[in-house]
Amino acid sequence: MLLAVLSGFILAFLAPWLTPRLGRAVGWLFGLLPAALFVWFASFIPVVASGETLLFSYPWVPGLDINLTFLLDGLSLLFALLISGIGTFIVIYAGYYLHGEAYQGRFYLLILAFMASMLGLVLSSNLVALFVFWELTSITSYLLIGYHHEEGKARASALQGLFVTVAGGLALLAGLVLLAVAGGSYELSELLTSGDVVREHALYLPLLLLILLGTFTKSAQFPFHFWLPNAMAAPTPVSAYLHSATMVKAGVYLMARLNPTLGGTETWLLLLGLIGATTMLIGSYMALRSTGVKQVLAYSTVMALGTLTMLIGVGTEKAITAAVAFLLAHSLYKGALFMIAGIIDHETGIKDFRELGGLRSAMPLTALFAGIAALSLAGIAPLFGFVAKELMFEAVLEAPAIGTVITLFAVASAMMVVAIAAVIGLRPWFGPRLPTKKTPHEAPPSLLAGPAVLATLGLLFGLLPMLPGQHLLSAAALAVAGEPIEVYLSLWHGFNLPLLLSATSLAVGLLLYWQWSRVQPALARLAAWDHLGPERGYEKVMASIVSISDSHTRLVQNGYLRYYILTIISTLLLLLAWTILTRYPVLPSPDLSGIAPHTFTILAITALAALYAVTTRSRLGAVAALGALGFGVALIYVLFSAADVGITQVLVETITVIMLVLVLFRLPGFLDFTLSGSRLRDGFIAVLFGGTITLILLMTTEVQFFPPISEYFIENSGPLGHGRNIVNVILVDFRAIDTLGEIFVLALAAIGVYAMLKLRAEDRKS
Amino acid sequence: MNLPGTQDYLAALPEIVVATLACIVLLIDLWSNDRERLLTWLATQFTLLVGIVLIIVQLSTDVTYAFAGTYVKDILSDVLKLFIFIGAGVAFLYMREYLRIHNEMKGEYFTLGLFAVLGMMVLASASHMITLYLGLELLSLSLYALVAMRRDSAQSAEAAMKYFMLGAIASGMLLYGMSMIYGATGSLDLREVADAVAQARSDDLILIFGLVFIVAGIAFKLGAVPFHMWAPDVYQGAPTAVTLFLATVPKLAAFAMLMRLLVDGLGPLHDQWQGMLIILAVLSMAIGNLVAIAQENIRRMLAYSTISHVGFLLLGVLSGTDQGYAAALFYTVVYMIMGLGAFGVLVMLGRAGFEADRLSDIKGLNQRSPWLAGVMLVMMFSMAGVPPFLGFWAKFAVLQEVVAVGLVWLAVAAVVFSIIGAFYYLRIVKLIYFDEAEEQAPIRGSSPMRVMVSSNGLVVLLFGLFPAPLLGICIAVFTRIELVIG
Repeated sequence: MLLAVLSGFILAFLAPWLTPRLGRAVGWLFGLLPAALFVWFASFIPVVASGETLLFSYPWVPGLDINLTFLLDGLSLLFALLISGIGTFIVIYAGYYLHGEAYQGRFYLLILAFMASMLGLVLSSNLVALFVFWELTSITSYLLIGYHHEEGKARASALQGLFVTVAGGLALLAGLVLLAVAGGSYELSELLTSGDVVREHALYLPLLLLILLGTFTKSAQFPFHFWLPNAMAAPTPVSAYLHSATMVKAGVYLMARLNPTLGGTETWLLLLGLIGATTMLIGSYMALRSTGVKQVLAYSTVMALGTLTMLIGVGTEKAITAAVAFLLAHSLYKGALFMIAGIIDHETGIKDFRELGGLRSAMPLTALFAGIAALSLAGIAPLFGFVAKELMFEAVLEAPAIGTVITLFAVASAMMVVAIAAVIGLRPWFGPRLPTKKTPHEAPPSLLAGPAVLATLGLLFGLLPMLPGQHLLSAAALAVAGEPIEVYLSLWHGFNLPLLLSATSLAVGLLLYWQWSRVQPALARLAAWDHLGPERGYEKVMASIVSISDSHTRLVQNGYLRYYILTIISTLLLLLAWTILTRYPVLPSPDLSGIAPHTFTILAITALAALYAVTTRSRLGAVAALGALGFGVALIYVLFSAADVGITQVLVETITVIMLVLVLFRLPGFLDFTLSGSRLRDGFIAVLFGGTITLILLMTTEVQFFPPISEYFIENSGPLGHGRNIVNVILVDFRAIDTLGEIFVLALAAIGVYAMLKLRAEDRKS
Repeated sequence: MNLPGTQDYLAALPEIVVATLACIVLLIDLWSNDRERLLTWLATQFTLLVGIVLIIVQLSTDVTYAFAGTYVKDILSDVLKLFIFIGAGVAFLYMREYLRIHNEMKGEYFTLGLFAVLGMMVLASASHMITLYLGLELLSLSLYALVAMRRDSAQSAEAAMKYFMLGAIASGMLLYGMSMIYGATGSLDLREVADAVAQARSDDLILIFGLVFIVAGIAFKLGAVPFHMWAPDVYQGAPTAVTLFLATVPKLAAFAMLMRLLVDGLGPLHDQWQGMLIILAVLSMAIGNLVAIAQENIRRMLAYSTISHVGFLLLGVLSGTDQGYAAALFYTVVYMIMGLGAFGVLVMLGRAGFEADRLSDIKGLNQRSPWLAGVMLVMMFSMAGVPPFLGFWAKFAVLQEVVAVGLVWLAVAAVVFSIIGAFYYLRIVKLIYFDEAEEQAPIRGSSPMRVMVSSNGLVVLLFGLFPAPLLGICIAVFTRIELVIG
């Protein structure tokens, strides 16, 4: 199993090297890998259809208790088959389509890595591994678009799509971590059975919202559907297909996968049901409005994704059966149609439905398969799309609580889908032949293989719906529901309400198509209202983030050191004040009685000096005041019988003042730029900070300290140091090595100063 | 009083050897006439290599206290020093390339760098506040000087001045805090402090004040909001060669400081400092990610990115569990690797007299050099926390620990800010891959440089695919599991 997932990556990294060496056969040869995988996965059908779930585990990150565990049940098998099966045709197709392009090798690198990531995603049982593959699909498919991007608009909004999916991915990560907390495991195999615990957990709502944020962004659900159009700028319809029809299914997959764990609640029903239905409607509306071949197809994919989300949300037996059937039907016809779109582009050089017509005679086979696939899209009997659509109507009609709303949405959407299908299936092929850039020819086998097989399968499954239904789809439905479901698919359900709805939508749809040349421009004019849509919201949010960021830079990060210091001091002040206020409401009342009056005089002089230093406009005055302050402090030292410290202070103070005065001569004249407002603010902060520090000091004096170290020196300087001057004994005896170090440092500094002076003297000479 | 013995010197052998060799490198540089400073550079790298060998030879889970308990050699210090050596080695290689491109080759870049490394080593092994302060100042002074190396550039001088002024204030706060802790516990020895703190709750008052000052000091060194303001100006003002060093390796030392002071020393006060770290972490992630968006200069942007990563790192520490510390260590190491890679690419983009550090300079890089574009892509995705790159595991490990201690809202906030942050990393990816190149000058770069930048990218990718070894080391450090190397 590990090899099955990783083989894609291995071949991917060899691809750039192999591609030029294999020449024309490259597509067919590379196609062997997904084909082999398809066969290998298909061999599991009997086992899985019997309801078994297979687990494969490999150690990966033991430190975080993460194993690379793969889980194979009906749902993952269905996806794995679709990915490897359609992947085979895509790889073959690209071999011809991109032949001779310089970037074909890198294209294969990315497309194979993408395929392997998708496989890993749908097979992973470990949530973390799943997330890793999830993001890998985003990255690889974005890099796929990165090649050959000629459209300017697409370039401009490429960031948008990437950001929306990556952002959603991070939300998903948070959701998955919470899910693991709630469910007590990172393994899906265990989570799938602990749904009741998770649904009752206090974290259920946040984790559900986060996970849905991830899946909705990935699967382009309303209101995040806006990023998908940019995917249409992809170089080839192939990568457009991968991106807008395959990668986006990952979100649907995850919702289906987690249905047994998270589903069945009212929140789940409302969120998925309503958002899915809205997306479905918007998707088909946008598809009807567009004229670009890739646009129409991609928007119709949005419709399909919405439908699937809605069905998973409804969650009844019918709905889940409909969901898996619809998933299969959609994959078959959409794969065929995207490849046909590529053929049209390749053969005619035209990308717009309005410029296409009458190609039937030039490319009859392509036209035939396009017609079959389009019939399935429209949901017309006897195609498999019809089976799926009937089931969908049945499911929405029976849906609890929101049945009426979503039925209305579904019918409206179905009408438009019929029209879209007609645009795709009829318009390019019938009618008068329109001029093309190149002379169209029938497509070669490597291009036609995919559409032929996929479209035919759509027809075959339609005629014999139990063929996929009996084994694969029932197992898939079982996996989604978490309990056995009786899946019964048939083409003919009798005359009932769903059939009536189908017939109505068919009639209205054809009417819409008949008037397409009028309806489409009319709808396109509605584009003027798009600015009210969610894309605008995205832009506004982004713009406001940028403006917050800008204003922060201007206000706070303005380059002025004084503001930086101000911020640091204010923060510290806040933290200290908060500590004092929350813990010690009683302010200290220090005992000042023992302090002599002349001490207060010195203190007052010191304070006045400080006040003068900050208010004066003369630099010299400020320096002198600072000097006075220093000498005041020295005097206090002396008064408290620390004469030596006092002398040191006097020396340092003198040198500082002299140096400051010397430096001041070299500075330009003093100019006062500060506004009185900011001076007031600075003064306020300074007073507050000084006050807080004073308060802290007063508080600390009340605390009983440990016995001072001086006791030791007083006791021992005589007996041990043989000296009576304790300070001297400390310096030359107890701390002799410190003193030595100090002397060393001073000597070193002196040498440095000497060297600098000498250098300067030499500079002058030369 | 006991004189230090062989055991003490053995425990500190790496520091002693690096200090000695650093002095020798200084002399080599003085007597060397080589314009390319190849000998100085080789001697510097040799010093680091000797350091690595010494660490590995003595690697063990035993805890040895040396020099009267002022110094500790444990598995945390060993592993930190190993990463410091490796990070510094890579940084010096990038540095040399930068200096060569810009014709500014000076030996002092490497000697100052070595002394900074020495300072970090001392920090990592400090078990006494004075040792810690000594290491911090050795590191800081070397960095101040490095930032100011381009003496003729007003921008560099301004950056150095700001860095120095604010750094001095921060050091002052730290010392003030330490003196208060001393006042409350009667010791500066971190072990004794821890014992005293665990017993004496009555002296809460001074302890908390001391704690506030110490946290502020650490926050400055880490560059956490609101003590971050030096970072953008210094990152932009310093030569890229210095920025790439300053922005990456010293974060390991800052982490060491955090662990030694808050966990080893003030661990019993976890309830008190957890709240402060939460504030710092949330602010850092918010401001770092939000403000990075408006930056046009990549180095400034990376400065804010660093700030946001620091927020994440703090998340791991504030969880207060061994797993949380391990996640934070892992995050720091991963951040260092990513930061080095991103700056390495920037160095390669520059040319004589031209710093490629505006967003427009990397436009269309994919057309000019797909390989370099690939490396930058890996770095940006990794920094944004997108798997399968290394940065994802770092974020994931931290988030998991935060959730594990019940701070779910904090984890969600962290993710929200990461989402905002993803925007500017992805914007770079978009510029590289989707925009037309404005610059057409070919990208050169010496072959060692190309090899190193490529391996840097590969490391982020390969360790991203197989994070177990690196993560295993970080976890082993804190769970004291026997480490097996080789």
